[in-house]
Amino acid sequence: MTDFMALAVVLALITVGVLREIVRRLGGARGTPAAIALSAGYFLVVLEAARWLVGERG
Amino acid sequence: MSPLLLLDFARQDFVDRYAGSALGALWALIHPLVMVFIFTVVFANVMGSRLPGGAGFYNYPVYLVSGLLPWMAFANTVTRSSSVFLDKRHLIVKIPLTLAYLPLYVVLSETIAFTISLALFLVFLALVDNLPGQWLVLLPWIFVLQQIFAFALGLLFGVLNVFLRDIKELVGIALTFWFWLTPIVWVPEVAPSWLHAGEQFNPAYWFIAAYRDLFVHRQPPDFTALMWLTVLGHGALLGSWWLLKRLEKDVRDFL
Repeated sequence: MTDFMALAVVLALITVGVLREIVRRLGGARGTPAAIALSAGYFLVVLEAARWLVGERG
Repeated sequence: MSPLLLLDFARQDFVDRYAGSALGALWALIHPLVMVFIFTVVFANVMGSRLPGGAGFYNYPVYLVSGLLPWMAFANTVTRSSSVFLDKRHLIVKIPLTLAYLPLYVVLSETIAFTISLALFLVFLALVDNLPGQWLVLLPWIFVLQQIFAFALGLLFGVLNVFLRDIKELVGIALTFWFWLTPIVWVPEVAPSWLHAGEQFNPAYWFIAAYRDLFVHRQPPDFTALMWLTVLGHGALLGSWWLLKRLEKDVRDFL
């Protein structure tokens, strides 16, 4: 359980950083496509990290 | 559009739902509570429904509610977003609102409703000693992915609905078909082989199955399916945003 709590904390911190960046880009004139791409990249990285964790734990 | 304005829209939307009722926002608790109670009593006690190969007394109600709650959030978001520009027409013509972000208040409002329902569902699971495992930490990501897809569809239909009012009705019918084609009430094992095979291409099944993995099977979700949902949801969002940008002037003129 400790691994997962640590994972949740790390993910939460990364999420806050990505969210701030997305909001900052959305404020720009042509930032929406970049914000969407950033969001998609974020989710793909998180899901790949979770899959790697499952593989590591067997 | 200011995030504070969106929050205010979402709060107002939530308040408006129960405006004038004696119990007010308590209805937001009562509705899911009654739903969980009815499904449990009807399917577990009265009909004696069990999952194939499952031994638990409450396994079918847990299976049903774990699919129904996310579907309701998804379907409500799509349906309500598809009329958001017409519903907020009085504001759009007076205030310079960013149209692309307007449906976000529906997403926020449905997220609040889902969170309340989920909290009650977790209390129920704790009471029947059937709490989900550690993979529950992934639930917020699955929910956000699902709502990004719903937001994209809602934005697309919202734009089209300005020009053709039948879109909202068609969306309702399409969602009814989609509901019954997705294993929410029924289990995939009892479906004909063609339908079972077709579920691999059903985006709703991708996220419903992920919730089922967390709540029913207590295992990690299918990450490949969630990655496809990521690509599809964000692709649809980009497409909807592009369409709105192309038609924004016409949308404002029609409104």
